[in-house]
Amino acid sequence: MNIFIDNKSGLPIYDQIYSQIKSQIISGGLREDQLLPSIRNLAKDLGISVITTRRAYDELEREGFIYTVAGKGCFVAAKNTELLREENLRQIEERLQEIRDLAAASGLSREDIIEMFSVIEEETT
Amino acid sequence: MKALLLKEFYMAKSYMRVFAAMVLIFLFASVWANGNMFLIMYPMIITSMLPMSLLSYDEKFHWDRYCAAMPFTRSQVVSAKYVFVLLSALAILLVSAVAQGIRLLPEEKEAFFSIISMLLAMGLSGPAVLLPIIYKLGSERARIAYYIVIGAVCALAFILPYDGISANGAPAVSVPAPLLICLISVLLFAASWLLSIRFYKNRSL
Amino acid sequence: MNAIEIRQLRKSYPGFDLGPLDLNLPQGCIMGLIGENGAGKTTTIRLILDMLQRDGGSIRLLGRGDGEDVMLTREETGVVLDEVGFPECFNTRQVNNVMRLTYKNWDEAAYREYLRRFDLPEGKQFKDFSRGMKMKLGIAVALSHKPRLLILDEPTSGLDPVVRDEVVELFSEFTRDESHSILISSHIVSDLEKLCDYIAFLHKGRLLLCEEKDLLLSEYCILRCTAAELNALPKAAVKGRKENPYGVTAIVRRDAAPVGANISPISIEELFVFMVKEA
Repeated sequence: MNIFIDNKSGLPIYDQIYSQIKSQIISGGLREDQLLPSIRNLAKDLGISVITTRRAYDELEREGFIYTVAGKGCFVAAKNTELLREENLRQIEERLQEIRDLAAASGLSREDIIEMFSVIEEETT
Repeated sequence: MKALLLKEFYMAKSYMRVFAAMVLIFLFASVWANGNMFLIMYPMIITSMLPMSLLSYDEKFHWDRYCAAMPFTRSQVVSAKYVFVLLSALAILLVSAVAQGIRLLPEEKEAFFSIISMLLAMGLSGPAVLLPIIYKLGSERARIAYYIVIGAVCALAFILPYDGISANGAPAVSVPAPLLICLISVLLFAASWLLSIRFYKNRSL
Repeated sequence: MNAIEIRQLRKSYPGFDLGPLDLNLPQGCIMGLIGENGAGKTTTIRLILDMLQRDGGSIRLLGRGDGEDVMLTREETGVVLDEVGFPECFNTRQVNNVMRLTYKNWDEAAYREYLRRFDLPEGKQFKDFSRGMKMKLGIAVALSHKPRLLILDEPTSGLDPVVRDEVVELFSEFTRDESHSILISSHIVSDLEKLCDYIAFLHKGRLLLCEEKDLLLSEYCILRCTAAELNALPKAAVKGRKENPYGVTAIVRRDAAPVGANISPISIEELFVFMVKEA
């Protein structure tokens, strides 16, 4: 598992950890039922506060990406297709926002965008 | 408490080398010096003042603060000092007894016991008076008391009856009821011990 | 359980009042006590260690109150004070001998290992140690009797940056065990920033704040704007300001900063300096 913390970005550190672990779970980099490092060990190895790693893990567990076995640790939860779908929908919405903003900035209309999309669809079939 | 006694011992070994040499010289001389009470008393006087010097070092080195965080009660810290006083006084008493025994026994028994009892009184009363003052006020503020007591004890040793073998063979020095003197010294010491503990328990470090 | 629980702690001197202080150090965490000289850090620590009589309030260490198992708590607490109190004539071997008789859990092997790691010479007398070496010996001793709680008063002062880093790392490792906790006071804020889970600001005897470090860092930011723009923000969101002829630099809550404003992340040191100026 790779985690890179950016102290200067202003993004809360627990959020960075949460996002990075989540995307690795979704992408398959972390396998189902894989044991994650303990909250304390992760904190010490990254040089950050234990409270922060705990918060990140709590969030991941709340969202269903990991589960805890008392006395053993935290494990990656089975890939929940519903969660995956939700994640994908969220990403699509984000990018659609980006497209809309860019389109507005370039003066493209809705029809222009749909046309561009149709061209791409054709190319990939 | 063993730890504290060991620490006293290490410090005594390190800082009191010069005094140790003087003590030996005086002890040696007192075997032959007929009658100079000062020679006889001086080793005990020096030895009895030693723990107070060490206490002032404790404060200077901040050992007293450091010690307060260790698993010792204030009572144990004070007691270690008193035990050390007792042990060193007994050690000097023993050696002085041997030295004086060589000189006085078996004829001058009265003189011998007088001297031994005065030695014990010397050895215990200086600390008995000073230690509570130091534990209450700290070494710095007790400094005047320190010098007064040293002066008083040395003066006492000078004005004590001249110890000589008088012409008709009777001992020229005798102290009334040497046993009583010993008892009083010990009681004074014990009272001082308890008082010091009470003072130190309330001291801010 | 809380490693340290302080409620309404008070101590008065002529000209200086400490408290009332409320402080909680949860077990397994590291709390940094930051304050300028004379803020009351050392007094607070001395009160915690029962060297001074408090005028009011209560202190619980490792779940024990006044008079409960005091000696056991002392066995489990490692202390480094700003003056390392060994007699000057001592060498490391004599320290070992005295400590061995002092602590039930004295770990001689660990002690020797720290001596080796810190490069502390065997036969040398304590009075010939440099300030840094004295500190290192104090730290070595504090860590060598299997403590559960470390109370450190300026333990890195006098140390060069490389050794400071090593020592900070040691303290961080100490709390890998969740039953271990640390209270550390310092004015080298950068060390505390790396190390601590909680930060407490002490200023003139009062606690300006006591919060999770990461929350503080994400809650506040530095805003650069005009005085007018700053005054437009709610007063409660502005924690400090510095004006210059060209504009104003202020510490504000992130959520109060206007969108697109010139904001940058804050350091604990900056936060502290700003807050003290404002106080």
